[in-house]
Amino acid sequence: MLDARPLSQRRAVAIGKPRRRIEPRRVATYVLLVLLVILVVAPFLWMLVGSFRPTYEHLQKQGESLWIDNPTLSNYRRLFREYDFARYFLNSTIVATLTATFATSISAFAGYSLARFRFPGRGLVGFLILTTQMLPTVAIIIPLFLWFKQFQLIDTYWALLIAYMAFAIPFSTWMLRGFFANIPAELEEAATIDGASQFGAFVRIVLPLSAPGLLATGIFSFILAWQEFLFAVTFTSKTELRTLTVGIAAMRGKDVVDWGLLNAGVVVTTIPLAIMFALVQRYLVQGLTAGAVKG
Amino acid sequence: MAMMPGANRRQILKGALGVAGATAIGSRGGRIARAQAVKLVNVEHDSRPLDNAAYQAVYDAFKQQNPDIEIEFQIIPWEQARSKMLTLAQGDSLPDMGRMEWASDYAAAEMLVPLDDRVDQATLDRFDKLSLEYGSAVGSDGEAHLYALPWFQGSAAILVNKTFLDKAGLPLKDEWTTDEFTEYAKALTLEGQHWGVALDVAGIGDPVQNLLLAVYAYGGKWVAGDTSSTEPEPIVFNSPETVAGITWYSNLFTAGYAVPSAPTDTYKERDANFQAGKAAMEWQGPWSLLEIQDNFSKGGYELASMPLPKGPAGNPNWYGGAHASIYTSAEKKGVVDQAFKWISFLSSDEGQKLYCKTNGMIPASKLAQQDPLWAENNLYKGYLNSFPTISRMDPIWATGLSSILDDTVPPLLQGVFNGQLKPEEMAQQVQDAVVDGLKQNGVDVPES
Amino acid sequence: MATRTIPMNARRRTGPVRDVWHEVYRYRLAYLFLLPALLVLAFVDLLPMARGVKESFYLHNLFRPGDQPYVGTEQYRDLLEDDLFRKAFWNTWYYTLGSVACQFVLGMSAAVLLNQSVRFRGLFRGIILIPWVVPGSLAAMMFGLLFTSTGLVNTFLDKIGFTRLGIIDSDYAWLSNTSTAMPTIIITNMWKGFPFFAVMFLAAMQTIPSDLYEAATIDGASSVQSFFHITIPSIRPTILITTLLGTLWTFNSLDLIYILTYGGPFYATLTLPMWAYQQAFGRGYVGQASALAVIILVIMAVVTTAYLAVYRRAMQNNE
Repeated sequence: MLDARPLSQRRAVAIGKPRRRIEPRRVATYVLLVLLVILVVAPFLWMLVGSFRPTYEHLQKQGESLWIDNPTLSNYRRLFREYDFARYFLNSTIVATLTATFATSISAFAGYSLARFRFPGRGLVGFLILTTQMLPTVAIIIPLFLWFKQFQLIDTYWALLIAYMAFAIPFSTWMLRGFFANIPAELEEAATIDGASQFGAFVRIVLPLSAPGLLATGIFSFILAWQEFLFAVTFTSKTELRTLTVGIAAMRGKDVVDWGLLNAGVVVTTIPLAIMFALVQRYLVQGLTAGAVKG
Repeated sequence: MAMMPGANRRQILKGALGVAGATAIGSRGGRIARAQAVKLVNVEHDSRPLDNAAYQAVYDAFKQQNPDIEIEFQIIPWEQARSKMLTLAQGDSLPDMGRMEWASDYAAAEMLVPLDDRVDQATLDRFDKLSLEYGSAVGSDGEAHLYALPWFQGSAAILVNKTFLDKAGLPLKDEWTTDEFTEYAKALTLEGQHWGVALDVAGIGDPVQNLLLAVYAYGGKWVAGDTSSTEPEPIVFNSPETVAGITWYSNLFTAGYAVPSAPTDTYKERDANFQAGKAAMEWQGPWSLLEIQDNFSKGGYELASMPLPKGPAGNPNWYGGAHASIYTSAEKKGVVDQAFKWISFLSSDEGQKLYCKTNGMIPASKLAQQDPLWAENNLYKGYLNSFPTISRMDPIWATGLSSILDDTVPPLLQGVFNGQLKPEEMAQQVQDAVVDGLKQNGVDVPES
Repeated sequence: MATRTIPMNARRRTGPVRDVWHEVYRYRLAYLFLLPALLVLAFVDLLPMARGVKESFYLHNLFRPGDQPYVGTEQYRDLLEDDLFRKAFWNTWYYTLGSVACQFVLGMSAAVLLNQSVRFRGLFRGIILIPWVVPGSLAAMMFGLLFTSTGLVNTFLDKIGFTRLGIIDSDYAWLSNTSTAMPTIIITNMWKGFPFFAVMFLAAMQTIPSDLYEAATIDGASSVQSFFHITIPSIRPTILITTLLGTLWTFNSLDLIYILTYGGPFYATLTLPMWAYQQAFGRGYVGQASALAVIILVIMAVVTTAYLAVYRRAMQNNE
């Protein structure tokens, strides 16, 4: 595995400095880290405070202070009663999970193919995959809508799944290609000599070894699908298929905005994901380290 | 309804509707509804909890009479409404019926089913001529049709924070001028406390409409002739009157009487600022009076309304409201009859009252408006009184005009607000964009 | 790149054409593995784009159904002659390069900090990466509220005395002034996008063997020197590819501008994709929007090709 020891520790060992002394550099590191955390957290904190504020207090105070005169849970209550927010949450989770699963599986095959075989047209495929990253969404949304309509996929999870996969696959393929390239080919050669097919060797030997990379890739795709708005609002109309981003957009009504409700919606959309992400980000960094970024 | 081919194409809509009334009814009922339940999709762009409740109230009553019709209510958020509806039309995936905001745009895109020979004269008589005109448009056949029935309506008024007015010693007025408006805005701007007026210069619909109210008050026009005519005429928007209107409106901002974030604030922040007591006045329709009043009372303020200020050309008002249409997908599914049952119930006096009672709107039917619930409520009075000042300013043949304006006006007005563009430059650029856009949309606009 | 080819048993035949087919057959598993990915990409990206290219030569207007005459390159000419095109072109670069530069600097700083030995490193890392999972549309709403004239940013600047010093007004509207609208959007984008850079750089830094640093330290190199002479060269491939992807994604992204300014005030934040969106969905000019999309694609392709040339050279130098 990789050497996860942090830099300064390594250096401390190398030149034998006594630890536990207050170094100005370490203090500076902490100060900067805390500043960074404040920068990141401040907008959230503001939303979190706002979500416990009744809307009229919101209107009156706006940005004047962080203090809540009449804290309330009613915004959250209404979020789940007056809007079907639990359903939106479920939809986002389903779509993002499916996208992560499918995109990662498909990309695993593609990435393996690009990493292991020097087949004719390899460069072209690589270029095509990169090309898809250059397309403006606006350009493809109407033709795509017509496609989906033709295949009766409008107002289904499938439409979103397929569209998101197309966004997730190029990056995932690139990540996994790097990952597979770092797994010694001798392992598969040994297996094929023992009578396994190449496909079998891939599934039984390469994939299990790549678990961290697959997980990291899956997280990428999940985040991507969770955030998307324009496709979601275009390809679904039924209220029961709404994802979180569309659900929140619908709260910004024609004439009034219920700021308290909106803040609660933002909190519910981001906090669970942020917590989940904070728990798995370790694997994300590990996966990237072992694969994609290792030339 | 068929117009005489080859006859004088200059048809006035009112006449067309008269024909519709005469030939209507009786020929209905060719198709008999099947016994099994038909499922219809109704679209709406507003999604306040109160609106959902209002629909539910109407639907419950409708269900009693039509147990065989099931309705699914879909909401397409306002900001995506037009783009999404147009996309849906491209893929034949429109809802069956429901809210219809842009008659001429949608008619040109062949999204609407004409209602001419389904509606009788008695039904038409219940509404103002204008509210029917806003449900009418020139279809792709080049002729005017009725495409929608109104079920609630409104116009603009000036909502004021009466508490601030009282403090400044300014009286409520039944009639006032644009100059007096500026005086009020100035007197109500108190450093560090609140601004005189909340304006919005970005977004879809209202921002453009409110500017146009100023332009119309100073005598600006789109065409010289009758706006109900279906025959295209030269666009005469760029005129000294229009420039005067834009100048007056933008001076409110440049003089510092308006909330500084106006150039990009969407109308929602405009409204938020007014409700928060950050601004003393705003242009507003009667769409969210219950919420505004609620927030006002919680903030300890008193809400009142005044009519639009009069300019040299009076105070022509815009027409606003909700119209229900049948979309062409219902035709393809063969459910037009059932869809018509729903929209005519929604626009019946009973349906309108049920709806408006629940969410605080004003019914479109003249009979329903006489209900004391509206006729005797002071907050609604300002609006009811302003209905007679509504006049149609945009020509009925101007296909896609609202799309062109929503796209063109906000950035230019922002330029005027920020002092980077002169009002006369703006007037010229709007005119050019409108002529060019209408031509792109297939309208032969004559040169002036 | 440790690309290894697994030999497959096959007989050699003669002739170049046969050779190609022979090669294709030899690598059939490679193609089979690629097939699902290529199918999805063709269906969702390439075919719609091909259609878009076709539409850019036709006057496709949503308000004129059934009437789509061929107009050749007229729509391209109209666009390129429009003053707004030049404005939107430079705005797009202002937005893209400004965002990517800010994300790069902040991301690199975060990566360096997180690569130190600190207590609660996992916690710091977890928190700092959070903006990444916030949907762009919500980030825009959050920052829009913060930057209004009565928003928290002004309150904060007021409290720390900025307004008393006369630097800005206490009710300054950040998004409403043509000079500060784009910087405000870039700040929002920086907040939203720097974690991606941070996580990529951090992962790359962890692959650098520690003995490189030890040797440098023994030679008396300062940590700044180590950073520029060891860290940066070692992670150069990652820097280049992350920056390329960040540039492509930012160039085409719409959500922040769509919600914060919709291209305003007075076109100050109108980018090419925003303009294309307005053309297609605001006015219904699908043909013109398609032409604009093709122009965007060409710009992207040129940039990417140039960039990849640099990338290859950097990779070669690295070896």
